[in-house]
Amino acid sequence: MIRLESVGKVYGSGPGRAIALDAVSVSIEPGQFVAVAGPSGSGKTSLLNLIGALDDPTSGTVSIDGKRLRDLSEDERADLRLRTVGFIFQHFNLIPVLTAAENVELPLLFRPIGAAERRRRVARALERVGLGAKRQRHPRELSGGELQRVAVARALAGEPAIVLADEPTANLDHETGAAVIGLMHELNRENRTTFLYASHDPELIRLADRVVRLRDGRLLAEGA
Amino acid sequence: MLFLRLALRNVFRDRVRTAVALLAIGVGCAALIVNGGVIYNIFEELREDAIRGRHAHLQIYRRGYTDNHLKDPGAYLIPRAEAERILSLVRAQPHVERITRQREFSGMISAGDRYVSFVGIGVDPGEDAEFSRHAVLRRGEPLSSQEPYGMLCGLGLAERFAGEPGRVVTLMTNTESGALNAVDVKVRGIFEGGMKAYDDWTLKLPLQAVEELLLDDRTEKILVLLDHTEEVPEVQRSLEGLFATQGLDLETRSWRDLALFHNQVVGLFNRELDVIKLIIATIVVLGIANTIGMSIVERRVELATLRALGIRSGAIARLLFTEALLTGLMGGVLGVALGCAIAWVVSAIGITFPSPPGATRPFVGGVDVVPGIVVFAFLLSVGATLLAAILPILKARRWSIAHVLRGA
Repeated sequence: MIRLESVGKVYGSGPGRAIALDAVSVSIEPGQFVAVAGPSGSGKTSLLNLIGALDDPTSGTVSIDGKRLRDLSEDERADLRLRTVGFIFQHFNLIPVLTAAENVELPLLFRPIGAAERRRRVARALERVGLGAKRQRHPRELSGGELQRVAVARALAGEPAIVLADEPTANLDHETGAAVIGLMHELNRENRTTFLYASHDPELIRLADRVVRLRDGRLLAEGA
Repeated sequence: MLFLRLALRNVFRDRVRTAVALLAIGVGCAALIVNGGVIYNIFEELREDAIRGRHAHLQIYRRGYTDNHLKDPGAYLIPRAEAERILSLVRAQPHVERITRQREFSGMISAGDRYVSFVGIGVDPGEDAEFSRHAVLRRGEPLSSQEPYGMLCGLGLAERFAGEPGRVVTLMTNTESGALNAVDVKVRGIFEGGMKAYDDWTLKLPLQAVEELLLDDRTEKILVLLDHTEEVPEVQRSLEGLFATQGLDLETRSWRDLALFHNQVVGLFNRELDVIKLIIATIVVLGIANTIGMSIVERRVELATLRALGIRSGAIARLLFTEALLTGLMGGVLGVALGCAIAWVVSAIGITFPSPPGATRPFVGGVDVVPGIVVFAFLLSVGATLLAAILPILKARRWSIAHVLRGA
């Protein structure tokens, strides 16, 4: 379970300080498919960064399965991300010099997984996102939708409990974006993986089972 | 394997930048190889000059000679029979190519109205050419056993009394008992030994004439030439053992002990080489640090992504070090190839070096490819590249993942 208690995040200090999150408390149950909605600058990315242990809150606590992230060392946070959290980014963030399969395989290299099992997971993840035939393609040879599907496969190959997707459809056309969200939802149902995705597109937000709405860093309302 | 593939592909991601980096490392490495090779060549020339021109590989004296012979020269001379025994014993040893005995003396040359002081060396005329291979006969002919009263004069000494081949002069010296003795000799030739101080004072005369002049046939020193200079320490050890078992009270000195000029020049050039190594390493470090730094900064989103995916910053530092190592290895290989090629071309053409301080003549040298220098230059290139990578990598470890990804 993901739990945020009175979480605040402030960037900068003095007159230039910006409040990204203000006393946000929210709990996400395992297996939920959650949209984090809100306009630009509402704190969606900050919220996902805190859940993903990429950043520290200024106040409050963030915990995953009862483990307070603030108490973890830098390496322990990395291990948590490696084993428990998968990331999908707005700009796909694939490594351009690696093929689709190699991109998916890369995080698995740092886990005690044998080569055969790695290959099996990579093949399965790419098949699942419909890119089995393009596994040897480099990112420059793939379309935007395909790139994001590789990113989804990369996030899922490690079989994480949580997948955090920050504006995963922002660089895709509406149809492709909907397909990516649809794919994520299918995977959520198949594997009971918790998905949190940030979006400001009302149609894509409607696809979520639960919506967490933010405005100016404050939690506005929740609704299915 | 994927990790190594990723590192290798990252190295070649920006080919122009990689080419510039490899060139910087390669040129630095080649500069070390060429500079070291030139200096080694000069050392070789000076070494052979000292060995084949003046000191031979080893010299053998009566024990105590080195420390005391100036105070009491007569006490450290070797009787003729014992000298012959030593010659025969040493000649039979492995690696010994030639052996000869010598006797030094000093006195005045009387040439017309000029009186010029000299340092003389009594030599075996049949062996002198081999023991003086690096000395150049400028005029006249070499010593001959057919003409025991024919001498060779150093170039500077000959100028002091207007000596020319064929001119007869009188050599005057004191015998051990203090009596004045003189002998008329003919200048057979004029040589240039390579060192001004040597050429300004030295003459060579067959031992037969010297022994008559000094009224004494004892030997002052025995010179030994070996087949290879590298064998000197081993042969020296074995000779000292031989003399001990044969009950001969002798001491040996190697060319390195005697060639003070060579040792000074080697010391000076080695210091200069150290400075050049430092300068080149600094240039490589500064040049490559900038390139590696730029490469890391440009990939900051990618590196932050890897950390976001759960790859520890230590593993990412290893990736970046691996990239630096690959760059250093490739730059080093390029540098070795470039350095060897330059050495080969320059050696084929030859470089005329001006005469070193204290020497009398320029010499044509080349660039030796010295395995030790090549290995050192290669390792220095790799080491400098790794050193250059440290700061950018440490900086990258301090980046905030969220901050970098936010700016993506």
